Amino acid sequence: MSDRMDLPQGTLDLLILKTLALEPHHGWGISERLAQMSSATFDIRQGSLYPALHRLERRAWIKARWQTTEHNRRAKYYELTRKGRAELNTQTDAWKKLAAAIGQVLEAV
Amino acid sequence: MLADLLLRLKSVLFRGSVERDMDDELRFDLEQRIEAFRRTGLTEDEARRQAALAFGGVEQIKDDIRDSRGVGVIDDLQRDIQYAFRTLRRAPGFTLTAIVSLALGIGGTTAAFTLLDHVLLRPLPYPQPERLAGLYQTQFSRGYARLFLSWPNYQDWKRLNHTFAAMGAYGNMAANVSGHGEPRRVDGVAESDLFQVLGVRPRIGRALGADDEREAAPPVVVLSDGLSRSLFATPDDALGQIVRIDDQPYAIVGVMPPAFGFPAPTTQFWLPAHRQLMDYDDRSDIYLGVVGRLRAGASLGEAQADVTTIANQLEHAYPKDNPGTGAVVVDLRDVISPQSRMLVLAVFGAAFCLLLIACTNLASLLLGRSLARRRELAVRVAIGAGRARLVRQLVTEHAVLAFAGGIGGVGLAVLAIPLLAQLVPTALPVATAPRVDGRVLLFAALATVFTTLAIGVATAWRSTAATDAAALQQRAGGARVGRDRMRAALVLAEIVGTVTLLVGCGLLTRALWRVESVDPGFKPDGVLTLRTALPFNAYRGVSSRAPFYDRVLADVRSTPGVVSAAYTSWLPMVFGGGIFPATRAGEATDPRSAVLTSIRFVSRDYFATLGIPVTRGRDLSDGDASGAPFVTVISESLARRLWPGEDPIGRTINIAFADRTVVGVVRDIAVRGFERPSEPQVYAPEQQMRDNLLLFHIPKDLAIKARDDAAALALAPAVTKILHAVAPDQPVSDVQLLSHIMETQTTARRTQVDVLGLFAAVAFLLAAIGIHGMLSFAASTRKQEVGVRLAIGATRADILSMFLRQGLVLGVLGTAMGAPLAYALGRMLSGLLFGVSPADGAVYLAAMAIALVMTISGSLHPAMEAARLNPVSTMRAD
Repeated sequence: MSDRMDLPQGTLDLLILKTLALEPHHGWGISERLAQMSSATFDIRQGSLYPALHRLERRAWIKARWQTTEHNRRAKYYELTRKGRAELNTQTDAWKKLAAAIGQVLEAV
Repeated sequence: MLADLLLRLKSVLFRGSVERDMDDELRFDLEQRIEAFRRTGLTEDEARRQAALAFGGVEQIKDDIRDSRGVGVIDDLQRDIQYAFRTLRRAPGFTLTAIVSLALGIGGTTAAFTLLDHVLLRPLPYPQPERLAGLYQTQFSRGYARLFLSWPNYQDWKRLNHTFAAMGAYGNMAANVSGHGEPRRVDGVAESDLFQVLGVRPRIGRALGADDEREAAPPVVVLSDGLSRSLFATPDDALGQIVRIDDQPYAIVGVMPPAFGFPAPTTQFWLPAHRQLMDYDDRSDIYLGVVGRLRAGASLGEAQADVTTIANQLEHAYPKDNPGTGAVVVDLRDVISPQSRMLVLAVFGAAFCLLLIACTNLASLLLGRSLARRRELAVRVAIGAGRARLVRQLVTEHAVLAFAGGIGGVGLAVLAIPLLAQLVPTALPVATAPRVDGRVLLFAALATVFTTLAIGVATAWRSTAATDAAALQQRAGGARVGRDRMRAALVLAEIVGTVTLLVGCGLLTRALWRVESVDPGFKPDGVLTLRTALPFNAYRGVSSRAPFYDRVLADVRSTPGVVSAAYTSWLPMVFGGGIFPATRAGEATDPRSAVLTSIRFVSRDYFATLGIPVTRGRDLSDGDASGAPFVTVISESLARRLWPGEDPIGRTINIAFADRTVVGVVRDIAVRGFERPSEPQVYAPEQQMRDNLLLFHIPKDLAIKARDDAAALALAPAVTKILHAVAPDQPVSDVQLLSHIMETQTTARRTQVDVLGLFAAVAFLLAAIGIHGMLSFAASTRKQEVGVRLAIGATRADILSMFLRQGLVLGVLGTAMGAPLAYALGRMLSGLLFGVSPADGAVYLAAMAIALVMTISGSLHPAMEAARLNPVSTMRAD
């Protein structure tokens, strides 16, 4: 557990958007995929994930629809809207700039 | 933005499906998680357990989701209200007590506010009412703070002032109105420029103006809405019709709106001032009410200074007619007496006191309940409910209670307002009665919100404060009563409030008794009275009136059952005016030192009929006719004033335009009623009135003495028939018993006592409930202690006295603290106390005794319950 990290404030939304950029996912799928991509560094709790999904839906960055899974179960799938894709690009750029700037400061010492 | 709104709307409108969606989504997640754990090789049970652990609190997540969807607040509110209803329904006794307490508190305050608003706050229904003022003469040397004006003085004030844009006047009169329907006697005024000053317009037709006062103007009248409705089938028909007022024809030119009643709600018609109605010449004949409209920018203070200067000039110019005459200007809103104002304020204060007691009581009840609910609250905090959330929940519960109480309160207010409306001073120039309207409802709403906040926040905060782990482990009844100081303090406050109200009510009751025990100087038993006010024009001289009086009195006296009968200018108490200066004949006396007397012209048998003893000399008789020497009977106090220590019989006084020889002395009577000092009295024979003078004093009140009140009442139809036979067009009004007239003298006081008594009774009840609630709770939480005490040898009497003592300590303490507060209230009311001391011992003793009874009756039941406990079962409880 000790190698796991809490997410910095506000980054969960960015990660969710990124996960959904490739293909639509249900909530469980998103958390699995995030754990996979971050090599289990991030511990995404359901208590944060689902409120965040509903928040993004409210902002119309993602939209939800009920579909059947490959195992023939009904699940709520989220997908990126056009607005969400634009938001993802903006946020990714911003994040990269921020990370680079922080990196420079840290290197400079 | 739009999408956001739609989603919120969807969440609210389709809450059911949204909730289902959420459940399905979370369940799917959980199942996937279980599946994942199972795939790692765990058993089914272990997989479920691990998944649930990893997942966390479902309800908490749902709450967070709701919050992020933005429906949290609305949703929470709905659930809080549902929860509140459920909780309250589970405790019907508590709920009922709470709602009734609140309804009484809010209802009382709302009703009292309705009165306060009507009498003191609401602007008068005229344009720019703040610029309207009432103007009066003063004569402080004789103790008069507000006198009417004479016409010449009014004209001079009007001409010389610099602060009023307009000034108008009215002279009160009552007249026989005939020509349409039954002839009737109604109040009205003769006015000058009144409508212009007030800025009012009739509902139909036109107002009266200066042109109508010209000598040659055709006679016209404006009617009240009420009078036109009672005279004509459809009130709009009135316009242009002729109505006879005191037998003179007047054309109706306007009908006022229903809400208009100036100078008093009883005023039914307005005539233009006219030489036939008004005395334009005598500067000492004071009968005019005067209203003014201030110039823009002029203040009441400036107007006061202005008019005072004029009054001083007039005093110097006419020292005989204006001795010591000053002036006073008051806001028209304040023409009611300071006593009336004080009374209305006191009633509101009492009602507010009641609301505070109700709040206190409820807070105390809730506090007890919340202590008992500590475990429930502690459990809810432990499973993740936020403290703010819990407070909100409890406040919602209180708001539901307060709202129900508020609705009940408005209902009670509607019931109580007719009683309180009797406290509206008759001088208030507003024709409408106080009633519940938007302003009042707004006040009730504010009172409800105030109540919710007062009781809710404090108790809710306090009761959630202790919801820590310790409280969880505590037994449900673990709250120590000894530490329950707050509750005791609340009950104490209730007792203080109750004692205050009890003393206030007691003082007013004493004052009422004292007023009722005043000797009026006459005997009202078995006296029937009625009024036949003859129109002045047809009856200006003694000879023109004689046939009427002679026939009526002869026929009435010969009616079986009649002991005696007599006519008088006015019966005592129905009218206090008719004041005239009396001097010793032949002496040039300074007008300032002339004795003001109330003079009445009467027929023979007047003293016998009213039971006024003749103490010296003789009664008036039929022999004292217009041709005979002028005589008079005076009261003892006048005899003492004019001839101290000497025999007044045979002396002569000058009064009412004639020298009159004193032939008899009678006891003084309370002409002005019980509460005000009366002037000395002078009686003169009706036949010895001067023709065309003092027409106002023409005898109009008939008094008939019978065996008792029942016999007197039974005479009414026969007497009315006689009057109709003698004068068919003459209205007969005010048929009533003299004892009834005496009762109406104290009606206002009785209402005061009723109202304050009602408040005190409710306060008593609420405080008893409060004490009962506190001790019941104490008893239930101390069951184990009682059990132990009984087990180690305490008797049941010990237990009983233990709880009773707790109530009594509060009772004694509350009474001790209430006494000084009650004294302050008494001081405030001293203007209404008719000489009863605000520190009246008997009243305080009675209030203390009642408070004691209240405390004991509140404590007895819970104390006995506690004493009856079975020690074995209590120690096993919980």
